[in-house]
Amino acid sequence: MIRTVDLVKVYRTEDVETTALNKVNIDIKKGEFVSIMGPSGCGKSTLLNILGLLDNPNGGEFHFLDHEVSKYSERQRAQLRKENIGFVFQSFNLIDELTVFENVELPLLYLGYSSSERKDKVNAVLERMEIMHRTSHFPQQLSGGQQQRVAVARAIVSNPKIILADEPTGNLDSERGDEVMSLLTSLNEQGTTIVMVTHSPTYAEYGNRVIHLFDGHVVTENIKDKEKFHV
Amino acid sequence: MLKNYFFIALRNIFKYKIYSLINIVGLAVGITCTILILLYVTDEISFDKFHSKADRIYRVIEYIDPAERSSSLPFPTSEAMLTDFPNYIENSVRFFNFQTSTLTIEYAPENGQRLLFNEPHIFFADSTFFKVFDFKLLQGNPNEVLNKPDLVLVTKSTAQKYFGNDDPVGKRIRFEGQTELTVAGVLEDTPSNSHFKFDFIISFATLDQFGFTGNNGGFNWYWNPCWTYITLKEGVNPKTLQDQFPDFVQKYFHPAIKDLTRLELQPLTDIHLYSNLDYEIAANSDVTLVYIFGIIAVFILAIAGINFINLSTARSMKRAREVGVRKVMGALPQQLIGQFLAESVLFSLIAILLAIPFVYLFLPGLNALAAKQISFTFITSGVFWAALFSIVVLVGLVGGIYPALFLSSFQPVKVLAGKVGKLGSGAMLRKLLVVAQFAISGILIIGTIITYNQLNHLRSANLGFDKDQVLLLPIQRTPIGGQQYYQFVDRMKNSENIIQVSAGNMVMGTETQTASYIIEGKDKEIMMSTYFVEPDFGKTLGMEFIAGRDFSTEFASDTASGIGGVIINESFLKLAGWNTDNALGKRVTGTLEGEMRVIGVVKDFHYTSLRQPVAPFLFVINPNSQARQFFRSFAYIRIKGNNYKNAIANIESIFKDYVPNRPFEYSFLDEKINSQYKGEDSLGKIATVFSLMAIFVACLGLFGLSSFTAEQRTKEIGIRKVVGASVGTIVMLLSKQFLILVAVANLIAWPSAFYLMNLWLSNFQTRTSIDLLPFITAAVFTFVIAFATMSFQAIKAAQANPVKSLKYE
Ligand SMILES: Nc1ncnc2c1ncn2[C@@H]1O[C@H](COP(=O)(O)OP(=O)(O)OP(=O)(O)O)[C@@H](O)[C@H]1O
Ligand SMILES: [Mg+2]
Repeated sequence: MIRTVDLVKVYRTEDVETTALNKVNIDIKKGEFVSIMGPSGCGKSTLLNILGLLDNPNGGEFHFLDHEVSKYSERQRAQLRKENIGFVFQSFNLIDELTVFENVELPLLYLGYSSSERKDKVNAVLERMEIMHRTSHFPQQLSGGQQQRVAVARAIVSNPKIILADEPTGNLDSERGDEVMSLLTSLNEQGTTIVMVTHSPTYAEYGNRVIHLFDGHVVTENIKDKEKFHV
Repeated sequence: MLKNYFFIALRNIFKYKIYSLINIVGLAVGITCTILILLYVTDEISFDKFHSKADRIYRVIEYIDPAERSSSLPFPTSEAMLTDFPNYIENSVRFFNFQTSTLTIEYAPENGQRLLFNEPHIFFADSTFFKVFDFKLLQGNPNEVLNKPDLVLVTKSTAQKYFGNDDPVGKRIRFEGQTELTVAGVLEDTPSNSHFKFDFIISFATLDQFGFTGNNGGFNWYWNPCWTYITLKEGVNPKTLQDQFPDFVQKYFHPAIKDLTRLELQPLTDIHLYSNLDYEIAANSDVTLVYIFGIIAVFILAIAGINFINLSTARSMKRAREVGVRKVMGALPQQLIGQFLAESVLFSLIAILLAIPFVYLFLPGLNALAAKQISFTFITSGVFWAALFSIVVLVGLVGGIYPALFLSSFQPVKVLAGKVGKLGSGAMLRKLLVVAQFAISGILIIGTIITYNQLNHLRSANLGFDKDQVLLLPIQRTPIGGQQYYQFVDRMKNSENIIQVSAGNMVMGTETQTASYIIEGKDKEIMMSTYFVEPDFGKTLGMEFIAGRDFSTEFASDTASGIGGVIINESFLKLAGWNTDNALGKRVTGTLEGEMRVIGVVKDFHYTSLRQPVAPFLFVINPNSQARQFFRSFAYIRIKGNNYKNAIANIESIFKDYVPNRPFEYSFLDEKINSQYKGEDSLGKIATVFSLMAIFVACLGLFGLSSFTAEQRTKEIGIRKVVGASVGTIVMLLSKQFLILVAVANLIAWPSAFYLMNLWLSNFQTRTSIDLLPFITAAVFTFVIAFATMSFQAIKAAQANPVKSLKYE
């Protein structure tokens, strides 16, 4: 589903050049739950952004669903992205001026669903996230855990093939964190591929394998169910 | 999708109330000013276009080199043209009003109240009046109402004034105390956008009894008192007709002037904005005003639009995350651009909704300032809404496009990581735009002050005579103007509070007439400005004689027929090549007056407005006593300093003894002269109002911008305070950058304003000098007001508790 070959990302600012990713090779199969770990600044978010088609690499190959996308334009990436990828962020990134319902509805809008379809889908997913009673609230009226559930609802409302989560539990206490993790696990069990960045070894263990990054390199890959995915 | 945009826009408007208020109020004020100015401009350019043949109607005008540019023609011109150019001219109509400011109308029904008024808008017109123009006849048959002598048409409101609710048709009124006229029909009131206004139209045939339409002692092709309008046949090129005028002039015009005379066709629709000839029916407007106001409208709208751009980009930090999220969700840049544009259009829509009641509120003010009668009914016009809609879209798009491009270019990876530069983004552009706003404001302030300086200059300029405390009394066709003039003068002079009395046929300082003269030693007639006056004219007006003397009753020859006297001005002296020692006694021969001798020389003075140059000029006492009576239009009465009331009461009682059946009416010479500058006056007033508006809107923007800066620098301010900075230094810190911008703006405004105002002043023969004061005033004003605006925010930020502001991060 996702395969990178010698992926390189270099940030250039006026005076410094930071190599955030240095020849990263990873291969993620459909249905996997991959955790990415590593010290701060090692390039986890950079990798996730590239995998999520938010950013282009500077070098190497990136195959996404059989497309070589490393040179795709923003427009092409946007198309692939909205059809296939859901995002969950550490800081939730809900739009403050929109209600819960409207926030969740957003991806469907850009996918061009009709209003009745949107209503059905949003209600279904909010039900599943158990926040139906909050549909017309604004994000700031919700607790952190509730906000993250809305963010997850938004990530999955369009049935993406893959969910990318950057420290989804980072801003939550352990109880809320557990909740989000079980949500992700159940999504994975229903067939959604998940790639998650985390600093927590415990949560990393929810995945079927853990990729350790250090200074832009993949150092180890800890594979639990080798046989299942034929790596 | 649109619903989503709409809600988010609306919620944003409510969430950031100050920001929204600044934007909307600023835009609303800008749009209000623009609509008001557009209404003014639309009204100005609509003049005379309501006639269905407007594009084929021309006024024939007469230039007599070098001195006369006449809007009117000799009596027989109209008929001769119809005869000579039947293939070109469809119809023609003449207007005549004795060239008098008012004429008396009396209505004395058998059993009712006698009404007597001096009417300012009376014309004699040919029966073709309705064939050329579209003025509406409400009662009566257009083919009959003007085709006989002694018929008169009245407008609806005039009918109301004289006859109340009675049927006006058939009523009899008396004209100038002598001619009985029968009301033959009722006209609709003159539309306010007609270049002349009438209350009465009298059939031209009525004039036959006054002897004007006849041969006039051979001068009927010389005297030119008839405004003459022609309709060209369809498809006729006015140029081809005009090309035949030189031959026409040769064929008909008086020998004294036919080599000097040139006829031209002036399009009807050009008269209001472009025409400033001699003897205009009424003073016209000036197209420069239309341009100036148009520019001001664009300026104000630009300032309001700039606020919008500046505040939106300054606020972009707040929207960056939304942009990032939307992009992550798959939004394309153009979708975001669409969203932000829709938002700015929404803003401008709300602003317009606010602007409409503003316009309603301020329209009467504009009407008063600009002497217009624009009614709020424009609100029902489709054109208005189309224009309004265009403004909404234009402002929304122009003001929104930059912020939209700016916002939509954010990269989600960066904004979601909070990495969009804080102060940096778009800061340069914002600075430039603030500079533009204050430069425009500066130009408007400087322009306004110089306009006022010029106006004061025009009003207080030394005209070469003393215009103050001179009362003008219309006496044409009264016994005073006639046989009893000298007796009247004696009585006046003996009366208290009256210093001097004379008479003339023109209003000194505002108008002139021209006639042809041969100067001793030269052989050709020359057209020159002349006033027909009476003894003591120079004395009454406080004129300075550099040789000879004023006309006086003590010299019988001055007023006797035969060889008369003439008083010339310095320019005449130069033209003739004489000097003050040898000029007296020289011969000047007038086409009308015959031989005359120079008896005095006066210093040059401004016999017309200060827009016109001073040329050779002469005062004449008309040797023909019949004509002299006709040309005694005004008595000039100089009254003593401080007792106007008594003097006027005296004048009235004496006047009533001679003229019992005409309302007593007078005016002051200085007011008449000053009223020539009412265009500049309303320009000054309107410019003041709009300049203040422009500055207000610019300050609104500055207020918003400085509040964003203060907000963004909260942490910095906190730290500075912790390490000991005082409120004062922090206020300076925050204000400094803006004050630099205002300084740059002034540097731009000064030369631009200097250039523009020089351009404007070049319209005047007499102009104020441009000194530093307006520029310094503008600088001080913009600095003070900008500083006051910003320090409000800066002081608030500086006084905030540092502990709180440090936690804020
Ligand atoms: N836009 C950028 N410009 C310049 N350098 C950047 C940019 N984004 C990231 N970097 C640098 O790239 C490296 C990797 O950053 P990245 O955000 O991927 O780290 P991370 O592993 O996600 O860290 P954390 O655990 O703190 O989130 C860092 O050294 C960082 O400073
Ligand atoms: Mg990170």
